[in-house]
Amino acid sequence: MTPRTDLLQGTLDVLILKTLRAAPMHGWGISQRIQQLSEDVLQVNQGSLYPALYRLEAKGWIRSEWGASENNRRARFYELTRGGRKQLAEEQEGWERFAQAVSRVLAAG
Amino acid sequence: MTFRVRTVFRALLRRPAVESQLEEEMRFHIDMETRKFVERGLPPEEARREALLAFGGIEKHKEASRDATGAPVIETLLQDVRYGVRGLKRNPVFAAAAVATLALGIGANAAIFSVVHGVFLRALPYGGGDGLVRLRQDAPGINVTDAPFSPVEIADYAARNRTLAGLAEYRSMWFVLLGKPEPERVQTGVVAADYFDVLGSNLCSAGHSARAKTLPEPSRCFFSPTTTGCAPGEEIPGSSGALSG
Repeated sequence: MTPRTDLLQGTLDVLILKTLRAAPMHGWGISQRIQQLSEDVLQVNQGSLYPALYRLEAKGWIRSEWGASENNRRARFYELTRGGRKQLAEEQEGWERFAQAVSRVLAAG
Repeated sequence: MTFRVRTVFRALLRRPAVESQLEEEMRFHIDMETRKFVERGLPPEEARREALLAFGGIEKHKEASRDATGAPVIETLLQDVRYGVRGLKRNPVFAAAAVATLALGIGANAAIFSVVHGVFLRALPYGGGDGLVRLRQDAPGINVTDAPFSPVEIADYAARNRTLAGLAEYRSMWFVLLGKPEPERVQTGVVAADYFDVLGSNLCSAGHSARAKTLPEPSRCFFSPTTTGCAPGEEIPGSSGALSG
């Protein structure tokens, strides 16, 4: 992730929540998916994913359990809780509003 | 900081488990990333290096993850408590003084509250305790307060009473108790026959009409700390029951 992303802690959180909405995933899978979806704009420093994951779990928006990965290794899978789904919807809305506001300011002469 | 209590507790109680869990999780991540680079054609060592680079500082991220669980807050609190206890153990005199001060403070507070509770806050143990009033006669002209009522005055009040459900008089008197090896001066409470009825206590009930048409006659109902009931003219146990006033 570029240094800019590190500053916006909330951004990483919402990206994780969105990624997990599709299906439960382990940490590495989440980082790959975010890279993939953002077309490689957001990468580097993958380790900062884990504090975010633990924080989200402490807040009750995701839950975790051990499972088997694609290559049959033990991995920790995360999935969205109901509260997490609600939080994602709220943050998505907030983010869209924010992005629109910024574009409006930038577009104005 | 709205952390779920359960996760915090879990993190606290199973700290070694959380440690090994973090280790395993991150190791898995780095291995997967290494494999990705190997699949792209890099030699294993270089692949691993690239993976570690992409991951960032492992210890740093582990620390951040531990802090993120919210457990550290309580851990530091417990640490502070333990430090405080150690300090007290090293300084027993101070500890004793602190404990004594606390004990005095708490004890005094409890005592005062018990008194306040008993006197002010608790309802009187009679029925309708908040409906009781005490009548008092003052003669300000001659600077007299709480002048005693005479029987005629009491009868007068009783006859004209429209507002009170009942009226009962009481006074305390000194008597000499005979019948014991040595006569003894005792302080007694002398009350109207329906005193306990007016109060709403069922300690002793007037068996007959309380108010005579003429001057009320004193009824005889003796109490001592050991008797719980009475009948007119009953004697005090352990004495030959004569009071001379």
